[in-house]
Amino acid sequence: MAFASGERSPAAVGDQAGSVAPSHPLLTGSEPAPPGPEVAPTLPILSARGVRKTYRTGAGTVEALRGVDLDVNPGELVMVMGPSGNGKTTMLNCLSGLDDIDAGTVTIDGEDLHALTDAQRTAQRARRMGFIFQSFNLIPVFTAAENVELPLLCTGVRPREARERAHDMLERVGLGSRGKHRPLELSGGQQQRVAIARALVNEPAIVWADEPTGNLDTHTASDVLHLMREFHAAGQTLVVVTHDHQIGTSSERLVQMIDGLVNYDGHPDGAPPDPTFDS
Amino acid sequence: MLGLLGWLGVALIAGMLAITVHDALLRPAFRRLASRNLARRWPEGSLVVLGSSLGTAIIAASFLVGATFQSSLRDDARTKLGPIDEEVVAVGRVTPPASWHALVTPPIPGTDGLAAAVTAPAAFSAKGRAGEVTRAVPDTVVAETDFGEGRALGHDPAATGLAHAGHDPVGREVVINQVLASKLRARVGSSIALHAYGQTRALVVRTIVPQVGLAGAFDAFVANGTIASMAAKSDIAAATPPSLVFLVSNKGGVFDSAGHTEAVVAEINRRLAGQANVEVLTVKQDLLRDATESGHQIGQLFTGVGVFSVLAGVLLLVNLFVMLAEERRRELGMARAVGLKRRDLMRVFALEGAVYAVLSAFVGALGGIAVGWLIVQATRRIFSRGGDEFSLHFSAPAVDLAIAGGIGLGIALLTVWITSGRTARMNVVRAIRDLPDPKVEGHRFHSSLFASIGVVVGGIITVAGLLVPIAIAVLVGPPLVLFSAIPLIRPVLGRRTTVSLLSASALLWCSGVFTFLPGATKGAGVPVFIVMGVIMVGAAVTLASSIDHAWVSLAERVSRTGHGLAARLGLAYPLARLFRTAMLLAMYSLIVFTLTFIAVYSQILGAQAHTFTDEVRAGTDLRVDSNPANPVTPAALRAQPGVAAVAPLVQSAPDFTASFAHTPKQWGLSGLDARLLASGTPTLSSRSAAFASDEAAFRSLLTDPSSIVVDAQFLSKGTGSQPGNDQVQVGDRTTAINPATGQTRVYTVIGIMSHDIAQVGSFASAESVKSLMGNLAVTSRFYVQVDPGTSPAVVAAQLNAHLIDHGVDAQTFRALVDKSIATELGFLQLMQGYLALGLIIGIAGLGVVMVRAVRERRRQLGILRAIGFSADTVRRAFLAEAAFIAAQGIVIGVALGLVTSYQMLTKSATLGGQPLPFDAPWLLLAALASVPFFASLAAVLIPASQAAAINPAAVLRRAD
Repeated sequence: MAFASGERSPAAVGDQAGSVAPSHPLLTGSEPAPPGPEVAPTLPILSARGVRKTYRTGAGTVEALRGVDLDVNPGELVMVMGPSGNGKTTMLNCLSGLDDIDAGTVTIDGEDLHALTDAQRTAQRARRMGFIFQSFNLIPVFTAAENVELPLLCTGVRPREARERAHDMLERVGLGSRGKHRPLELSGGQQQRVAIARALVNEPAIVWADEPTGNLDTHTASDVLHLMREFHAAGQTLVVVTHDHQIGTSSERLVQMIDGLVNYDGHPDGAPPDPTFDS
Repeated sequence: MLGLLGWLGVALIAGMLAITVHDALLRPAFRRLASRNLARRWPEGSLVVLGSSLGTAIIAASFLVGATFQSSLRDDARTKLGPIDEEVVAVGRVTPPASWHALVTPPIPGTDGLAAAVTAPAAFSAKGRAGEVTRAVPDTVVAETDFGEGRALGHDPAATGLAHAGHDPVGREVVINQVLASKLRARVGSSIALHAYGQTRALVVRTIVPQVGLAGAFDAFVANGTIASMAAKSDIAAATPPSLVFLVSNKGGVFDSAGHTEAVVAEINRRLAGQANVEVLTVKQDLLRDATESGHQIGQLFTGVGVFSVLAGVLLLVNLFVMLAEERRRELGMARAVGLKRRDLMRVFALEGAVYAVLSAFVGALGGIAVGWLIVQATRRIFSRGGDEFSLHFSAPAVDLAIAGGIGLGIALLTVWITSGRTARMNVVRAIRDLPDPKVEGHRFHSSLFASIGVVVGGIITVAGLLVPIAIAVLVGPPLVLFSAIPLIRPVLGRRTTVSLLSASALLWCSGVFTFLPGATKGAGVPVFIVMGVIMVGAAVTLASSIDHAWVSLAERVSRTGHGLAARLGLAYPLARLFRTAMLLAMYSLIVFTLTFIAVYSQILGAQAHTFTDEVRAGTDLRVDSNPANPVTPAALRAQPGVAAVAPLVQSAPDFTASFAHTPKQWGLSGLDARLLASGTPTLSSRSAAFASDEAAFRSLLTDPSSIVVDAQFLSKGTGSQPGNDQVQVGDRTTAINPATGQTRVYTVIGIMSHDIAQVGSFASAESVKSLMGNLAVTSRFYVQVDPGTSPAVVAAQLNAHLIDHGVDAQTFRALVDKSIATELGFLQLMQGYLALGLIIGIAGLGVVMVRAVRERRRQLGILRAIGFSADTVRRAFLAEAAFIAAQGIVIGVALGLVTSYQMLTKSATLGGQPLPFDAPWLLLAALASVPFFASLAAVLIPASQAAAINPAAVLRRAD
C-alpha cells in the first residue's frame, strides 16, 4: 500500500509515539501537551507542507517532489533514506531554501522561507542553518580556520571573535592543530570534520547533511557519524540524507522517500523493507 | 627574407600542424575527444579564440601599416615619375650640346624612350577678383617639353600624365597639374602668374592634367623658349639657372623597370664620358629603395611598440590554456586511467588547441585589417596636421596578412603544445581525485648547472658592458646574474626570501644604474630604456608574487574591519593562483609601463617648444626661403617693414660620404657669413674641445673652409634615434661632392647641432660652399630678426604677401618647432593608441579569465551561497579580485614608467640635447591609471553577475 504525501503509516505513528521524546507534539498524537512549566509545548523548527518541485530537462519534466509534508522538531536527528533519484537531496535543498519550490510552504520557526527574498533567505541560512556535503565542499583557497569562520563572518560576527570561535569549534572536532592547513593538506575525514565544524560554528537551529559519509572509508565514516551524534546528543537538530541502511536505521526517526513522496516517516523498526533501497 | 630563425619557425609550425592534421584524419578517437569538447564548450572556446586573436590582430596591423607606408611611398613612382627611371641633368643649359647626340643614338639598351625638358624652379600666384594676390605657391618646378615626345615615353601615354594634354603650350598658355591647380584654385581659362628670374609672366591655364608621370615630376608646362627667355633677361647674378633634363625610360612598367638602372647608368656615363656639369640621377631606383626602407622602418616601429601588446596577448593565451587544462584535469586524468598514453593525451589536447589557434589566427588577421585601417586614418590626420602633402592609401597585401596570421598561429600553437605537454605530465590518481600535484624540484645538478652558466654569462656581459662601454650590456648583465642565481641561493635562504631579495635587487639596479654609472650608460637610446622597463616589470611582478604573505596579511586586516568579507574572498583566489596572477599582472604592467613612459616623454617634448626654438633660431626670429631661380636679395628683405636684420645663407645640396656612410648621400649644406653670428648661433650638443663656446666653433667656420657643423642625423638612415657606429661624431671627416662637376672638398666635423628643426643639414662658410658648388649654390635662405616689439608672425605674413614674386616662404622659428613637435607628438599619440589595444587585451583578458573562473569555481560559489554568502557579496568578491589585479598591475606599470622616464630624461641625453627637467603629466597619468582600472571592473561585471546568480542547489546537486 502506498501512502499519500504527508500521510503517516499508522504503524509508524504508533512506533514513534512510543519511542520518541514526549516533547515531540506530532509523535505524541493529536492531543496537545498538557500545559505546565515542566512540559512546555514545542513547535517544530521546520514545517513543510505540500512541497512540490519539478525540474525541466531537455527530455521533459521530472517531478522530483510531489507534495512533501515534513516536520522537524528541536533536537531531532532525522535520517532520510531512499533510492537514488527519488528526491532526497531535492527535498533537502528545497526545505533548506537552497532551491525554489513550485508549490507548498516551508516554515522555519513559523516564518515562510519561500516567501522571503533571496537575500533574506540567504540571511536565514547563514543564521539558522548549517550544511554538510558528501564532497566536503571546503573552499580550497582558505585554511581550515578560515573555512570554519565563514558563516560567522556572514552574520556580522566580528572577525576576531569569529576566529576564536572557529578555533574552538576546530578543537571540538579534534582539529585544533590543523587550523592553518588548507583543505587539500588534510585527509578526507579531516576535511569532513572541518565541514562539520563549519556547519555548527554558528550554532544553527538545524543542520542539513547530504551523504556526509559517502566519500569516506568505513572507519572514517564511523568517526564522523560519532561526531555528529555527539552534537546531536548536545541538542543539535540534524537532518541527514544517507544511502547507508545501517546509518539510516541508527536514529529514532527515519524518513523514507520514493518517487518524490515521503513513503514512511517513523521509527526505523517500523519501516517497510524495500528491495529497491540501496544499502 | 625570412632568415634562419624565420625558417625554423616555419618548420616548427609546419611540424605541429602536420601532427595535428595527421591526428585529425587518422586517429578517430583523438578526433572524437577533441571535437566533442569543442562542441560542448563552444562558449568557452569562443572566449579563447577571441582572446588569442587580439595578439594576432596587433601583429597583422603592424604589418599592414608598414605595407601601407611602403605602397603609398612607392606610389610616388607613379605620381611623380611615371615612366621616368633616370634623369640626365645639365645645370645651366637650355639646349643640348652636339656631343649629346651620342645619348640618343643608338638607343641605350634596356631603355624604351627618352625625352628632353628644360626646367627651372619657379613660383606661381593667382589673383582674386579685386586684383589682390589670393593664392601663391612658392616652390614649383616649371618645364618645357615636347608633349608628343613626353607621351611616347614608356609607350604608355596615360602613365605620363600628358595623354590628354593636347598640343604643346604656345604663347601665354600654361598646362598645370591638378595639385598646382588646386593650390591656386585655378581652372581652365584662369589667369595665373609665373615668377622666375626677377620677372613675372601672366599666363592662362589651357589644360589641367592629372599629377602622374611627367605631369607629376613638373608642376607646370609653358611654351618652348619661355624659361630660356626669362633666364636670359634675368638681372639676378646668383640664381639657380635653368637645367636641361633628359628623361630616360627603362623597359618595363612603372614599378618594375628600375632593374635596368645599373646597366643604363653605366651606358649613359660611358656615352657622356668627359662631359662636365652633367649629373645622372637614378630617380626611380632611389625612390623605390627609400619607399621600401621607410615602409620597413615604420612597420618595424609599429611592430616594436606592438611587441608589448603581442606579449600581453601571449600571456593571455598562456593563461587561458593553463585554465583550460586545469579545468579538465579530472577528465584528462580519467582519459589517462582508461588507457590513453601521456603522448596521446598531449596530442588530443593539442588537437583541440590547434582548432582554437587556427581560428584565432584567422580572426586575428581579419581583425588586423580593421586595426590597421584605423591606424592609417589616424596617421593621415597627423600628417595633415604637420602640413605634409604625403597621402596614405591603405593597403592590405595578402602576403602580409598571411605572415601575420602565421606568426599568431605559431605563437598560439607553441603555447598549446607546451601547455599540453605540461598537462599530460599529470599524476593520474591526483588528477582524478582533483588533488594538487606536489611541487617537483627539478634535477638539482641541472638547475645548478644552468644557473651557474647564467651567472657567468651575466657577469661577462656586465664586465664587457663596463669596459667598452655598452649601456644595454651594463643594464642587462646584473639582472641576468641575479635571476640566474635564484636556484643557487634558494637552498640556503629559502624560496621566498631568495626571490624577493634578488628581484628587489634587479629592480634597484635598473632604477639606479644611470645614476651610479653615468659613464657606462652614456649614449643609451630609447630601446635601452624600453629593455630596462621590461626587466623592471618582470622583477616587480616576481617581487609582488613572492610577497604573497604580505597580501594575505593585508587581506586579514581588511577583513578585521568587519566589512571586508568580499575583499578577503576576492584576494584569496589570486593569491592562491600565483602563476595566473603573475601572468595577468605582467599583462597590465607591461602596457601601462609603456603608456606611462610615452605619456611622460610626450609631456616633456611638448614643453620643450620654447627651448628648442631658442636652440635653433640663432637669435633671429624668422626663417625665410625664396625661389632659388628668383631669390629675394638681402637688401630687398631688409627694406621690408618690421625687418631689423637679415643673415643670408647660401643653399646647396651636395652629395656627402663619410667613414660611416660610404654611399654618397645628398644632404643640405648652408653657407653662413658673419651676419648670422651677429645675433647668435644655433646650439650645439657637442663640439670640438678646441672651442670654448658654440660661438667660437661657428666663428672658426668663417676662417677655416674645411670645417663643418652638422646635425645629429647627418647621413644617417631613417629616424636615427638610436646612437651607434653609423652616427656622426665630432672629429669625423666627410667629403662633399658637387654632383655636376665631381669637385670634392673634405670637411672636418667641429660641432653637432642639438636640433635641426630649421632643416639646415649642415653649416660651413659661405665662401667654402660657393667655391665647391658653383652655380648650384644660391643665396635663397635668410634668418631674419624683426624689429623689437614687432610680432614675428605678423612680419612673416607680410613678407609672404609682399614678396610673392620671389616665392618667399617666411615662417617663425616657433612655428617650425611647433609643427615639428606636433608631428612627433601625433606619432606618440598614435603609439599610445596602438598600445591602448594592448590594454584592451589586458582588460578583455581579465574579463575572459574571470568568466572562466566562474565556471571553475561554480561548486565553491555554490557552497558559499549555501552557507550564507549573499549574491551581492559574491559579486563584490569578483570585483575585488579584478580590482586587486588591475590596481597592482597599474601601480607597477605607472611607477616603473615614471622611474624609467625619469632616468632617461634626467640622467641621459637621449633627447639629443642636455638632460631635461622631469615633468610628469599627472592628470593624464591619473586618467591612465583610473580608466583601465574602472574598465577592468566593467569587464568583470558580467562574470561577477554570473557568479552571483549561481543557484547553489543546482551546482551542489551536480557536484555531489
